[in-house]
Amino acid sequence: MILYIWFVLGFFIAFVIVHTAVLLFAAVELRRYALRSNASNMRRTLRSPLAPLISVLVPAFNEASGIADTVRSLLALDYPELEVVVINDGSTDGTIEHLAEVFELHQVLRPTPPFLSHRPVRAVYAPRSQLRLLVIDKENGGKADSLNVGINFASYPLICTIDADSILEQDALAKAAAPFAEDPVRTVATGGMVRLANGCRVERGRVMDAHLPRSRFAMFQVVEYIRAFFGTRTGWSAMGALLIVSGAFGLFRRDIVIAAGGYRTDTVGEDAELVIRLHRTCLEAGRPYRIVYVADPVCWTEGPEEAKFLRRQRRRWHRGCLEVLIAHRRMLFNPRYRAVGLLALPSLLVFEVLGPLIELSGYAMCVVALLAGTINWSIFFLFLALALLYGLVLTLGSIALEDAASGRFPAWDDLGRVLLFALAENAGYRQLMHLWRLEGFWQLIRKGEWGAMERKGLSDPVPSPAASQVKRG
Amino acid sequence: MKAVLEAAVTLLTVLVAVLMAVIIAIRIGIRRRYRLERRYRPGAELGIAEYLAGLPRVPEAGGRSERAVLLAVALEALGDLRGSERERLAELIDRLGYTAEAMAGLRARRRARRRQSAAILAAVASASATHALTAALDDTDPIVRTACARTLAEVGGADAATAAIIAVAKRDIRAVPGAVAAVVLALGIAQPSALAPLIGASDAPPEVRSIAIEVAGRLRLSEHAKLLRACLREQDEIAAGAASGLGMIGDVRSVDALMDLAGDDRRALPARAAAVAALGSIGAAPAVPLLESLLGADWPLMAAAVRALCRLGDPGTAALRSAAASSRPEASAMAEAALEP
Repeated sequence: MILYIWFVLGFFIAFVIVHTAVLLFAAVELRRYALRSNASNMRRTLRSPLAPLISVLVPAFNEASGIADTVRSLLALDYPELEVVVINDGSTDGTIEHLAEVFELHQVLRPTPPFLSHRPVRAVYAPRSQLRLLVIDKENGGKADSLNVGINFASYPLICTIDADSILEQDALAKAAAPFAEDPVRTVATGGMVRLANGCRVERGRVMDAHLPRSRFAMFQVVEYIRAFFGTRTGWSAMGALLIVSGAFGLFRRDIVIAAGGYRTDTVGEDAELVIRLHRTCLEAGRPYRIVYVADPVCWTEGPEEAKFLRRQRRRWHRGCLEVLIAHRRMLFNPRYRAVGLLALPSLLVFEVLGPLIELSGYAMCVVALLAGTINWSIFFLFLALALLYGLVLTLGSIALEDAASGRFPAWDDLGRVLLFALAENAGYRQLMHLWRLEGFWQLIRKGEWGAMERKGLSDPVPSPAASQVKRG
Repeated sequence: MKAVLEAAVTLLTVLVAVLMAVIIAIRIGIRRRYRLERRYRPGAELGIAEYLAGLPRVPEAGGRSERAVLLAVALEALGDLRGSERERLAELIDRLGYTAEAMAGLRARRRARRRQSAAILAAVASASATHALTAALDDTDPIVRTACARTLAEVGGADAATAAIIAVAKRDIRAVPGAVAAVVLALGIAQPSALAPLIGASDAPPEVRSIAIEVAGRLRLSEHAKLLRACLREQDEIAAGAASGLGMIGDVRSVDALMDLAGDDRRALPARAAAVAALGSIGAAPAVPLLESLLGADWPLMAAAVRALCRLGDPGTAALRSAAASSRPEASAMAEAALEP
């Protein structure tokens, strides 16, 4: 028992050291970013002939209800030169017919470039107008497979991957592309902030009015997203060890992604897997590179509000983490892979993968000690207070960084709600997430399902009898 | 153990209180900024619009906050304006004393202030700041140096300044490559001949040369075609940039050299593909047999060859038709797609 207590204490101290360091790095990085970034400079650079050109890849599976709005809002983004490539992943709800009707598409002959392998392409469509839009209809193969098709067909050197139901802010692409303009040779990927659009007023593919969600599950996720994006990702990015560029919004150099082999289709954590493979490819080749998280550009997405969908999402994320760690186990604790191998991946293993197991075992031990009558109540409550307070420090630190960097959600009652949920998450939500994540463990062993999520839709749906709102999560 | 835990809990409680205070302070600051913006922005926008419309009234700004809002509005407008309206607004900024403040700011001790001042001077691009900008080329911060170098390049000036700008580009290419690209672009636009020492000099860092070559091509600076031709014999990355540039310039005299590069299978694919694309852009009919032979090559080269043949009129179309009828499936599919109306 004593040994176990010391083990848990050691785990907690390691957790505090790593997460405090990451938060401090995040603070330094955001200050540096604020000092470097200059709106008028960025505008001038991106309007110049040297601005990087971007292909926006939109994989779509049964997205008839919102795909036209998404494409319209992407084509209207504030960026000098971009093309939109929609990859219809064998939808059965008339996605392709709907797009063809709205954008007056006609079938074109377009041989499939052979850079990355994928499921067969059935047809390629282009609009009769001058719109920079390409629609590829392919057999169902999953999101990663669709992105590989998009990478093959993309005409421009940068690719932006977004989900079909995500909404980019007007200047999000320009801000996310800024690191490529600042350092075109070394920058290989950038990721932006993803926010929950639940509770926001969305019209025709644009967020008109941002509010915190009403749903409890969505509010807990808001707290998690603030911590994950402002605290964690910014900090790891500053250390050159960012492991995740969100699948909902990321920018990549196309040639490097092709050189690394594109997206893997045999994992559910394809976005993290690609980023880790990019690290690995560049480090093994001795190529100077950087993968950057930019806190400014915002992508809005819908988070699950019902327990069953959230459960599927978390199981999938955890399974993805495990698959990534297994696939790249050679990088773990390997000094050749610098901060990625020595810090980020071990941290992913210890705190994200094993953390739930250790925390849940702690609760079990408390129950055992209680039943055995050996529990030291004063130590128990002190430790509980310590854990709660440290969780609060991380959340408050991330909120402070968010406020300083972006100045969003400045309403006082919003702050109150976020803090309330930051405290409340310790009473049930957190433990539930751990349980669901452990199910991901079990799923990996069983190689189980690929979760589906019911989307309410962010804006008014387009009437379509065939439209189904079920999409891959 | 209990004492340690108690101390840790106390420490964290204090930290929570401090962070709460920080958040409240930040939010009060944000609120204050919003309030000031709401109060002064409409007046500032109206004042500038009236001034630009030719009314004799000059916008006035009393306090510090009001001046800051007026400057922000003016800088935003500068980004969107061109020609005489832009000049008029720059003149107004000068007249209201912002340029003088920014020039003084370039000598400030705080790096943030110097960067801000350099950004203001870059936006205004006033010739009256030349002296301060030249002095700032020796600043300790590469962002300040490159911002001033770009502004100087845009404003134009003596040859000595050009030499100093090029020195900044060479010095800062590793630290701030994007900013150096902006400097070289500004130099290429304002003084095209100034790019020659960057394109031709083998002692310049290859990254700067690559940028200068790209700029020469994108700005279609035909006076540098000879230098670009010479670059075709250099390492693949430089050669690829030079080939693209020659294609954009449309330099007919480069056809032979480009054909040599396109047909040389010891060179890297991107360099050869760039040469092929350039042959298409130039409209080099003699390259048709070479391009036809490349229809069996690797995808990037084949795709470039098909696109180039599309641009070569009847001989190119004939070559594509014969490729479409050929037994090579990839070449046939690509040629068919290219021939599609």
